[in-house]
This record gives sequence, C-alpha cells and structure tokens, in this order.
Amino acid sequence: MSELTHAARAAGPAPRRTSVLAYLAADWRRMRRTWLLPLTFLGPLGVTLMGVILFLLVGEQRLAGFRAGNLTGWAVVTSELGMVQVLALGLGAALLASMIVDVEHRSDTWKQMLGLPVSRATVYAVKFAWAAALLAGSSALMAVGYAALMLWLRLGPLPWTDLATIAALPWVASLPVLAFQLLLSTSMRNQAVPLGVGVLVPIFGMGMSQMPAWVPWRLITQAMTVAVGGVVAGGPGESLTWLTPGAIVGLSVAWVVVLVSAGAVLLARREVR
Amino acid sequence: MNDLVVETNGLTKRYGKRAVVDRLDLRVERGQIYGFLGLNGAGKTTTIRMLMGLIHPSAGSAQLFGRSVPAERMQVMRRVGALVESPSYYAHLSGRDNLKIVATLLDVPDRRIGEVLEIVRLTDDAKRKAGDYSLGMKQRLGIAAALIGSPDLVVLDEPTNGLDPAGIHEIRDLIRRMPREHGITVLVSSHLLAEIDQMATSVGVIHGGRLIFQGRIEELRARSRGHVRVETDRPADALAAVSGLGVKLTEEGDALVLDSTSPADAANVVRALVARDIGVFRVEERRLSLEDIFLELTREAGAA
Repeated sequence: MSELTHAARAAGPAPRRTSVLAYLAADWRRMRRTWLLPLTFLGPLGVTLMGVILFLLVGEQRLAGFRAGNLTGWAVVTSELGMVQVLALGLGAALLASMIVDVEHRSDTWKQMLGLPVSRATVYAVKFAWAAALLAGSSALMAVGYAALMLWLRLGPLPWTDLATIAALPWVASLPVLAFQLLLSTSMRNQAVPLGVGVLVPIFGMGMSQMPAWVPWRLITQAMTVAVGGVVAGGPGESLTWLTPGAIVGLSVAWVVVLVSAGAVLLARREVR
Repeated sequence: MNDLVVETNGLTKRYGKRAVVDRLDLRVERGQIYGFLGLNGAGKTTTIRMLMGLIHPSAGSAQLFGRSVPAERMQVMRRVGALVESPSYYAHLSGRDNLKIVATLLDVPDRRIGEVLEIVRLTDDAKRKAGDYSLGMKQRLGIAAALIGSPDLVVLDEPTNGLDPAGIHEIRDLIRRMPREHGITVLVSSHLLAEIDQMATSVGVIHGGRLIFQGRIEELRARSRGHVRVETDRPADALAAVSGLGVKLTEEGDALVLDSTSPADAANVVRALVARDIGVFRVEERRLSLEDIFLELTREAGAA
C-alpha cells in the first residue's frame, strides 16, 4: 500500500507561497477542453468571413471608391467590419468572462479551491488576466483577418501601423467591459443575467451615442473609430471621437484597476456555500 | 504546546436571527478520528465551512493547529485537506487532471498524484473524465484531492453519503488507516451513528446548532448502562417490599426498574419479592442502544 504522506512533510509547516505562475497554470488546465479556446479563434474567423460575404455581395461599389481614390484600402475593409468587431468585442468579453468563472460555478469548485492556501484576490486577478489574454488573442487574429481581406481584394500595401492599432487599441478599450462582466459573472451563479447584460448592452449601446464617452461600452466604439479612421491614412476619425487614443487607454486602465479590485474584494469577502 | 488540532470557542453562525451553529466548543486532539455526528441540518456543514475559512463566524473563534481561521488561513491550510459536502470536480477533465490542478496550486510534485490515486484506488480510471465517474469514484477523487498536500488534518464532510455498502466499507477502511499509519488527524461528519461508531475514537454530537455531547465514544457507550425490569402481579406492594435492600430502583408503570445490571442486585430483589409472596413473572435486562442514546440526547436537547 502506498504512502499517504510524502517527504515534503519533513519540511515542516513553514508556509510556502503559491506563485502566480501556479495560479496561471492551474487555470490553463481548467480551460482545456472547454469552448474558451475555440471561441477565441471562432470569433475573429466569423467576423472575417462576414467580411468575405460582404465583399462578395456589395464589394464592387466599395472597391470603386477605392479605385477612384476616394477611399483608402484600409477604410474599405474596416469601415463596416470595424463596427461588427465592436459588437463582437462586447459579446466576446461577456462570453469569455462568463465561461471562465462558470466552470467553477457548475463544478461547485469554489469551495474546494478557496479551501486551499490560495489568495482569493490572486485567484480573481488571474481569471481576469486569462480572459484578457484570450481577448488579446482574438484581437490579434482579427487584425490578421483585416490583412487577409486587404490582400485578397488587392487593396495595396498593408498598413502595419493601422493593423497594430486595430489589434491593440479596441482590445485595451474592451478590458473595462471584460472587468465589469467578470464581476457580474463571479457574483452570481446563474449566468443568465450577466450574459443578458453582455449581449443587450452592446447591441442597444451601439446607438447610444448620447451616453458619456467614458462609459466602458462607448470606449470600445471610440477606440474603433480611431483605429478605422486610420492614424496613418489620416482619415476622418479625429472629428468623430471625443477622446484621444491616450485618453482611451488611460480611462481603460483606470476602469480595470477599479473593477478588478472591486471584484477581488468581493470574492475575498464572499461566503462560499 | 497543546495537542489540539481543532479548537473552537463559542463558534456561532447566525443567518438572520436563527443560529445555525450556536456557541460551539469543539476539541479535536492529535491522532483522533473525531466523529462529528448530527442529523441533517444540525449545523455540521456550516461548522466545517467555518473551519475551512469559507464562511465567516458571526461570533466566537476557530483555530486549527493553534492558528485562527480565517485570519491565518494562508499559514495553516497547507496542513489541512478537506472534502466539503458534495465532491468538487471539473466534469470535463480527467481524474488525474483534476488532481493536477490541486497539486499545482499546492506546489506538490507530480508523483504525489500517482500516490493518492493509488490510495483511493482510482489509478485505472485516472484518465477517464471525472464527469463519467460513479458517485463513489467522485467521492474518492474528492478524498484524493484532500490528501494530495500530505495534510496533518483531514476534514471529510459526509464522505459516505450516497455510496453503496462496498463503497462505504472502503472509505471507512481508508479513514481508519489515516491516523494509525500516517498520524493524520481526521474530522469526519455523518448523520449516521452506526458509521461514526465504526470508525471514530471521539465523537461530538451536534443538534440544532449546539454541541450536546463531546467525548470518547466509550463515554457515550457507557451511557448505555443497562437496567433490569421486574414485573410482578402486585405492583402496588412491590416497591415497599424491596425498599430496604439498598438497591437503586424506580417504578415505571407496573414494573420496577433497577438502575444496575448487577446479578446480585437482581437476585436480592427477586428474593425479597418472593419472600413477601409477590409473584414475579418477568425479569428482563434492557440496554439502550447507541441509537437510543443518540435519540435521547437529541430529545433532551430539543426539550431544553
């Protein structure tokens, strides 16, 4: 019969701190065989395929604008799809946040995990970090999608700065929504409410230009407007936004700090039943 | 240094006005198998959740290895393994991957996973999805997770709930071995007295949130000191006939009840009765089963 104990016992009860890497590794293992990873790929793939369909249907008139020199190649591929991506980022954030904590709700594993010598705040922050990383992956893939469309349609040389901007800026701007959704999804077992909010607010929020510019969902729209407007191409973007890219990043970081801290405190105080 | 592994003082949890756990003073010593006995809803799981730092006490304090929980949770939880209520597992992952997650968070080497799988006899099923496990296997996986950090204290909440007799036997066997072979202290809860009786060395009985008995299981059993019941054809005269014998007895309906099972006492009583020409037609020894004691304890507590 094998041993119930092992040599580590001899080391005595001196507490060893669990490293953040261990939290990250544990969460990675949990995410395997879930829809989280496929979703990261399917999101941008779906938006890109929508672009393909869009151009197959009504591409000629857009391309005519490009040939006439009225539209940059960048504007041709991003002016419509950019708004689709705004919607996809909002929905994606809600979905990722929900799935990454729902695995604990459904498995009833909060009580097991939080009974270990782990910091609840770190548990929470690491979940946010993973969701943010997945969303970053999606955003990077989306930029690849735009590039592919430009190559397919022969819209000239790839605008690397614009591609980098559209990969990064809307992603940063979507993090406050992600943080908010994670807070909602963690605090309630039933995911209907968080998902409802996550789906409905972006859809109705699209038209809510009267909402203040600093509201999380509005930040994504403005980030996209900057990205689509073309920092390099010098498009009409500037006049359509209230916030500079720097202000968008600053506000996003502030939101993330506030919302993730709040979520961590809530989880730390939570009665785990 | 004191040898108390678990100590609570006035531990209380109130939901609204109702005290689910009411001024509990638990004492679990090193090397014990402490049976935490109570009916469903008596407050066992709530107590265990407070010990694990999952919920906060409304009043009182809890200490594990002399460190208070939840304040010093991080320092002490490495020495504690627990299975709280139903087993927790990621249904989409294999048994081994489930344990790997706990091992990663505890910074325990991978070979320990194989060891605990062996202990709970899941080695052959380690690669199957935990969601496809039988209830007994899920329970064993939960116990394996509790053991993986080589704890000094294992807390098991109703570990045999919903298992078939073979599974119950296996888990009972496993629990019995923990202190004997590895010096692990065990706190195990159950609503079944017979189960506690078969594995525990000490017992705490909780009822309505209050601890109504705590001590060695022998002490509980000592309460089952039997008595002898004597029935006669002239109950009205019987008590007077035996009053000078110095035997402690009471009248219960038409029968005399001796407070001891000493053969001499019984013989003396019968002799005295017969000498007064009182017909003795039944002498029987009665013993309270542990179950009766448990019921009596809970009834007393209910009345108080």
